[in-house]
Amino acid sequence: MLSIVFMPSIFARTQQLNLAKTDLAEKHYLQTLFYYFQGQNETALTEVGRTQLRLGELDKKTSLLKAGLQISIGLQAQAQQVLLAFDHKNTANENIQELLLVALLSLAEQFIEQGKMAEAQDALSNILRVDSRYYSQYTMLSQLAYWPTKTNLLKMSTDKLEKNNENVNADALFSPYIQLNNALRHIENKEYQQAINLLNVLKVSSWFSAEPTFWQTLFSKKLLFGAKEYGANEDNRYTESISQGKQSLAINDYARLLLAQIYVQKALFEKALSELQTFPQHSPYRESALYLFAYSAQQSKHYTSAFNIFTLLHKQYPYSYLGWQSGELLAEQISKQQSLNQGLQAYQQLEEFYQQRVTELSSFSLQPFKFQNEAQSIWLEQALKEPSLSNLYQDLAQTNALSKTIKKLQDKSHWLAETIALNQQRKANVVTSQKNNKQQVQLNLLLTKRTALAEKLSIALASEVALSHGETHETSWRDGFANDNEQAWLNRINKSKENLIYLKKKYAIDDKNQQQSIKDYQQRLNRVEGALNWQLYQKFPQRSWHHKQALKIIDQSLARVKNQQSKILILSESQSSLAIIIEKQLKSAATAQRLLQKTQHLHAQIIKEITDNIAGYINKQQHILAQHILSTKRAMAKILEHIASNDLKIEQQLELSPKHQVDNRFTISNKEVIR
Amino acid sequence: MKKISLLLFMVLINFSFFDISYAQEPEKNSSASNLAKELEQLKSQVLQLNLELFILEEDLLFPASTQVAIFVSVDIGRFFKLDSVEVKINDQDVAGFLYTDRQRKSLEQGGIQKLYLGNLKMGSYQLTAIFNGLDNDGRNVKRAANYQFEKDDESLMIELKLVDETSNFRTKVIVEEWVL
Repeated sequence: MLSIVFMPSIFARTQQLNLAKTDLAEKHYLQTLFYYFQGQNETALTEVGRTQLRLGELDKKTSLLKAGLQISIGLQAQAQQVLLAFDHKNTANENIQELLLVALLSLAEQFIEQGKMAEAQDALSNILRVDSRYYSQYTMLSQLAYWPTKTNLLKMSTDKLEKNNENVNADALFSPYIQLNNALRHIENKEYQQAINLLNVLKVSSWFSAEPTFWQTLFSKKLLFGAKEYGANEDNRYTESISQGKQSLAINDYARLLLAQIYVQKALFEKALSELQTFPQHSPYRESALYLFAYSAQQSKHYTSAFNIFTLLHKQYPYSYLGWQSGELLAEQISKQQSLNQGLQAYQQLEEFYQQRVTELSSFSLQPFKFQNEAQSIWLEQALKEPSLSNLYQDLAQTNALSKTIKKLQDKSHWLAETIALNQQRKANVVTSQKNNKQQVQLNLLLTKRTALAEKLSIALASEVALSHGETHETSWRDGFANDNEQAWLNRINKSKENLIYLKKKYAIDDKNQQQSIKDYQQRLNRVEGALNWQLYQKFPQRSWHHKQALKIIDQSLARVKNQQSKILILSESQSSLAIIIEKQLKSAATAQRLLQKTQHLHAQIIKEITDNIAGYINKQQHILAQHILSTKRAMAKILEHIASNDLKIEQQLELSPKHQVDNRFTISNKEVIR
Repeated sequence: MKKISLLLFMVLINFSFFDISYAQEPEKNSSASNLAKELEQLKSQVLQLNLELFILEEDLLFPASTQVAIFVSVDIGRFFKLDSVEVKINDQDVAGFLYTDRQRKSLEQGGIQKLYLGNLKMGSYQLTAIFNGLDNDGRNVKRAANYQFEKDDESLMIELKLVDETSNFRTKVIVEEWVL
């Protein structure tokens, strides 16, 4: 099935004449969107830069798009400059207002994520108007930016449709995140009952947040709260589209965990237990929930559950603080519930476990960037949970990527230099060829010929006019208009005329015979010439018109040649355009080199910073482990004391063995523990 | 979100049996912050360099006097699922493109694709564009357009628009020469 639409040039020209100039700014904007929609934000930003260079300036919409793209690739400072300087008071366009609002919210969110609260507050303070669609996001970000103090929020602005709909406003304020933050604030202020009331609602509610607007997806591609982690074990195919259900479940779980935590703080362990009993296995808060559950179980004397869960935690999370603490709580329970000897054994194993972690840490500290074994990778993974270190590793990866990009740009710059050299060579060849061909001489020759032809035509035309006015002797109109055959005839006639003149001179006037013959010849010649003239005169208008047209075409061609020649002359003589390009190329090559050096320097700085950070992290972990080891030793010493005192009691009761044997045994056991 | 998880952590450490401070390190480390700033500046400068080279390349290889650019857009693609396009100028293949789903959707969402950038001498030319795709019933469909144009010494930009026609539930190709 093939259908072809023919669009003749006439149509196109009419279209061009009728249409106003194309809105190039809009076309460039849509080209940028083509890249943006494919997730190629850097290319999209380059396209915006190209638009700015080509068109001189950007319109408001494209400026905000640029700011959004800058935010999305981590150029917050530049985006901030654009957004904070944006003249939104004089912008009546609602789309642009919305775009600005979303941009500022996204900027604030990124600053909060990086812990830059002052910058986040700056971004939020530039918001002058928030409608219901963005109010919950605005409230939540304000809570986080100003935490723990409360701030005065802007009032929600409503449009005509929303004014009568109270639900919209209520929904905006009942965002789960806002409520969670409120609950946290209550907990911090020890207002437990208010927190419990809020959390009880949150743990069973479900939310279906509105589809993100186009601009929201542009400025923020972050995954939603807890949704990434939720169920990560069962499905790794997480993409940008996050299940709202999972997000809602993550909030429910978090509310439940907070409730349980409050109950534990208030020593309501049974309540905490019942809260956590049905806690989902694949929740992102599983580890904390397990710990709270086991602790509550232990406190409310459900020792079997506590034992099982502490064992599970200790095995499953050997590198986490809760896992370490679980080990101690487990050993404590064993020594209380089972026997002192079993408790002692558990503590000994625990000590070995801590020592092993210390050894691994020492090994990790020697080569934090080389992963020779699994343990080192795990420690790195743990270290990367520290936001500062994680950011530094991301920075390191970015410097590596930047180095690669700069090297590619250097290659491109070299390639451009080669192309410029080839262009220069080509230009030189053109100049040489022009000189060799003596084109100007040829053109002058053509111009002379053309002038001669034009003169001939004008003489012929003037002669024809004279003839039409009765000047029959005029014959020059025939020149240049006869074809080959006719020209041959005309030549013969002219020759015959010359012969007749010769004969007239040769023979005397009184030679009547000869004179009669000459007369006859003359008459015959006149008849032939008359016939030929008539024939030529009939064809004259058509032929003169053709000649005029031909002359016009020659003129046009010559004008084109002249034009082309002058262009070539300008191009070959002026080096300015190429000189500018050469200058730019050299500048870009120098810039690339400078940037590469800067990147390498920055890379080294980041490595040093990471090394320092890792050393700090390792110290911290070793300190915590040392505390655990110390605490374990103390616990073991206590157990041994118990054992000793028990043995003493037994000895005293049975009055069997001498006292020095018990003392001896105690000393040996204590030495083992200390070792 | 970070604040929430941080607070949770602070609450949980109340159960610690030891006097160990698990508090997080200070959020802002000034040297790390400076490094981040430097990195951001560097990133921005690299982007600027990339842009400069891009423009330089365009100016060098496609000067305005000979430049011709062909664009593709879709409005809005309800009756035609774009699969590929071939473009010929004076019967010579100059450009072809096979679309991924994402690229097709980008066009359907309003993006404009620069399909071809090349050079032409002054004169008259004929452009032929053939779009291949699927109709709503999944059948292979072709849509094509012929267009005569004149190239003078200014850059020339031609947009090939795939436009839905609701009257016959078909898609037609409209060729628009941008007026610069």
